[in-house]
Amino acid sequence: MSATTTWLEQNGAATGTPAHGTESTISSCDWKSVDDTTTPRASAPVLAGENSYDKKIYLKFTGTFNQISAVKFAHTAGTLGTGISLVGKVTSTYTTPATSALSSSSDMTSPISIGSGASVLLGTSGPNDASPSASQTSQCYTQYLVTQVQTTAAASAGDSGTATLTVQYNEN
Amino acid sequence: MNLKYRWIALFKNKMIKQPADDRYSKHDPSKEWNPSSFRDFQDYFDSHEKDLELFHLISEDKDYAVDLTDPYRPKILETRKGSHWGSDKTVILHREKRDISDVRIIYYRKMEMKVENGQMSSPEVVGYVLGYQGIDKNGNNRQKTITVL
Repeated sequence: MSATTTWLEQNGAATGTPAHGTESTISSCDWKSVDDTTTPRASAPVLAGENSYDKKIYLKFTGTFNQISAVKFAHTAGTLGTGISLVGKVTSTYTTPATSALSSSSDMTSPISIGSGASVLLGTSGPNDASPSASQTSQCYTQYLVTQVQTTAAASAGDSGTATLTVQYNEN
Repeated sequence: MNLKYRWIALFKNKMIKQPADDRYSKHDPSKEWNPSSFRDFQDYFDSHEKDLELFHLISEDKDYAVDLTDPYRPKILETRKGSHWGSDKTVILHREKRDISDVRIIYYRKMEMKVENGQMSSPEVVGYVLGYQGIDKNGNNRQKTITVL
């Protein structure tokens, strides 16, 4: 036995305090031209020159563990292709997903080692916890791992290349 | 998830072992989260700090251990298991050079999960980290860990 990890995503208009979207459990995650977890990517392609909706995914840790700590997040392998950039950020703030350029984001287009990835904090009440910390000793959530693909007119038609995103953490 | 290495803590008068299901002795099945068995080690260690002699990580072919038989000068050991009784070979991987106090065991599993071509993967152990930390006479934190897989 060990920690049970569940991938979750929030979509839709920001509501409540702290702000949040509608939560879904996910097993896949594609950058698309609609803000949902169900439409196949082939049915909602991102047109050359446009951006995808930003994706707000996060992990929930339950099951059996003493402590979770030192979470990191990075684009670690693969490239999306000419004219396609990947940007992202780690945040506790939910904003309504949009196709406008993701604010305060970093360029994640080039793969890096996970050791150089972005540090992610953990909260006990949700990804929008007001006081997240670097480790938790009970059920917890990562902050939102937000990503968006941005394209130029030079982007090729059809499926892009593939990118591998990695989350690393310590558990005992 | 089956763990390649499991830990055993040897105190002067007690042994605490990581069970296969890694459950804490006060496991409550009605809860979505429970501590792991490492909490049992921490609970006992908190009141018997000076009694800990060895903290082992054990697999089928290799063992690693933090040796605290000299509590101020911890050692990290590796034992390769031989094919015959008595043919195990132990080497010292690291020996603390300065006296340290307030020694704590460091043990965790480094885990990774990936999103590849849009598909989420299950967590995988990418390393078992074992070591110790303590305070030297100048008040500096000294720490040594090894990562094995």
